Amino acid sequence: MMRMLRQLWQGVEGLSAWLRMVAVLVAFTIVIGGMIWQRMRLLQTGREVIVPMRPVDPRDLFRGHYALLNYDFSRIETSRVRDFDQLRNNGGRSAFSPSGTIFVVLRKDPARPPFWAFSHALLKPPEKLGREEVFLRCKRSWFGARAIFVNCGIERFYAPKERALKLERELRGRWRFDRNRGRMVPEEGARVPGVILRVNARGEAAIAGLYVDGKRILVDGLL
Amino acid sequence: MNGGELAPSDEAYLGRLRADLSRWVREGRISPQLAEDLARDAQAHARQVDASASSTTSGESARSAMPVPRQRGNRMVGAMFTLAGVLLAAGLLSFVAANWDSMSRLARLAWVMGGLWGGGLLAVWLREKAGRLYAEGMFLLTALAFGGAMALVAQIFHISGDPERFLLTWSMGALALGALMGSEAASVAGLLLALGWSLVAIGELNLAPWVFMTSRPMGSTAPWHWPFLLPLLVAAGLTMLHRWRWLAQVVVFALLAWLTYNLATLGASQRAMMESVFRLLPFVGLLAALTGVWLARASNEEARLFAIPLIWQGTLHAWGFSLLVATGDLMRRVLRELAGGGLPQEASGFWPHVALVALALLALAGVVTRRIAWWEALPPLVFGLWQWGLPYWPAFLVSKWVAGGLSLMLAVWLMALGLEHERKGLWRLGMALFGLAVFWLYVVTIGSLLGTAGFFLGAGLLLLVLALGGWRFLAWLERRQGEMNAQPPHEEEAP
Repeated sequence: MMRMLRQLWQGVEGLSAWLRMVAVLVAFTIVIGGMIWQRMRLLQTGREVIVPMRPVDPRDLFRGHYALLNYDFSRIETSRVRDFDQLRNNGGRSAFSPSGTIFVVLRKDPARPPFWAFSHALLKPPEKLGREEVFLRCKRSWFGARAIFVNCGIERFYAPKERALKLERELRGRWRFDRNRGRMVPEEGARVPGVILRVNARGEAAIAGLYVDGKRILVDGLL
Repeated sequence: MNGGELAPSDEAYLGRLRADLSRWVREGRISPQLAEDLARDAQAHARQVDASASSTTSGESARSAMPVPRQRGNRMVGAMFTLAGVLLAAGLLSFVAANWDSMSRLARLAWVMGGLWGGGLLAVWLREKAGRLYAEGMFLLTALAFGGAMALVAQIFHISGDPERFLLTWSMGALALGALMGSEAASVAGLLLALGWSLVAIGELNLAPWVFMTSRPMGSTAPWHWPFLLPLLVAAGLTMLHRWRWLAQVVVFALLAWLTYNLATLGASQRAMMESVFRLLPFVGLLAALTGVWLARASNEEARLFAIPLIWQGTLHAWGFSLLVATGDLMRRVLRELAGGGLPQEASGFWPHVALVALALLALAGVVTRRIAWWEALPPLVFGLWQWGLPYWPAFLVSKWVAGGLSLMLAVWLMALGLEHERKGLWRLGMALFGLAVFWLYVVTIGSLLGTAGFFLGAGLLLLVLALGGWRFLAWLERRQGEMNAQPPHEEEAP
């Protein structure tokens, strides 16, 4: 075993140190470049979906330099997970591990254009979707007996300080805490802001901008 | 020499022998030819740590042929380069975080990518020119900059992220860097990141969903996170291949932490979890220590590398946990006191005062008895004087910056002294103090991010300048020594 390791190391060491370092750095650059390329591509080619946004704490929205975003589908009742019972009966323990994938289906909301609303969720990838439907591939962060909390990678919005403060002023006062429902709800007559997402066929989503008072506040590019 | 490093005792002996031979040649007792023959013979019969496992770059070979004072100096300057790398990396990350708003996205990315490539190429250059130890700090910087770059891209594109995947990618990158470049610092970083990945994964599997509940959710999966064993095995292989003692310590630490965390989540409820921790942890430590005792007797030299870390860390694990239970309340009270106390009261407290003044007196005694040089005694004397005069100094001299700076100076001094006199205890004490000082400075400067970045960058640059200065000085010393040795002895004796 040690002899094999030594032979392997001698082979590696036979290569120039510069060459090895450049190989490592190129690999690092490919990983980082890949992240950028994947996001840019998603933003350019993904289907646009606008979902209503609900802040975790509207009094202090931009805590630090990012806002924590909350959606209608951030907490899902188990009754709205279509294959929940089926999997509970047949799928075994693994299907119910606290962490794992959940597929959130969104449908265009004719009552509230241009928003898309949460339709239902699935623990297995959806086989068929309607024309006005998309799905998000999310992670279950934890679940109890009645609800599942999900994380879709679109829960943080970073903004420079001035912009963050401006946005916070604009968004403040649009929600109130509903004791009966135990969560933030929009104020009567207030226009609910939204988050513009780009979603690809695999269910990956990226934040493309914010939607406030009928205006699109788009996230600028790399420059 | 075929590139292997000498056992420390032989290394010291060869150094003394060379010094004596030079003196005898100068005094005309022996001929230069005989001196050279004797030195070559002694070198050929010296015990090598491991010829095949060590690096054989030109820098390494040159280093192994250097006289011992140069080697010691090399280690000291190499250590300074490593610490400078750590500080610069911390400074770079804090600086980028603090100036996030004022930079364009592309500029931010260029900063980190520049650090990544610059650090990597500088590391190879340093290694080619000066040896492995010099390059370690830069390898570490490269490994850290890789994670920084990924975090920046995540912020640019509002990716709220998957910490598990992020830590896994980062650790794989750092480990690959360590394995391909033979860098111990990058390997240590890679393994610690892999441990972080595993702990997050275990947490996601077990803790996160049910910390707010009284019982485990239905059907939750088994808590053991086996994939962690893969990076652990890679790190263990690297440890054995290169005989890296620091990595051996971290391998044992990571194994114990992983076992502990996995066992901690075995219980069926939060209360049961705590009980299982209390019940099981001392046994984990005991088992590790016993394994260490068994390995210490093994004939395989590579396996013996883990014996001491297992014995020490296992024992500390077992006893430390028992003590923690026994003195938990006491420790909480002490920590509360410490957190509440301000610096002047803390710094002018009775025990630190006594300790530092005693250190200053010891240093003075060392100078008087000629065990250490006057310049070696300077840092503790300065610190002791500062400590003694705390009530009388003007306010700016009692600031946290001065205290931090002096602590860092004291730490570097302890490490230097440890290397100079080959006292591992002093070296470790210096390392521990350095870590504590950096951590303390970080804690007290939280909230003023720019200040933290400035401090780390400043300290890192200062250390880098000192290290470069030390390097130049050693090169000059070596040249001078070479010139002196080249002079024929009878010429020296001629009036």
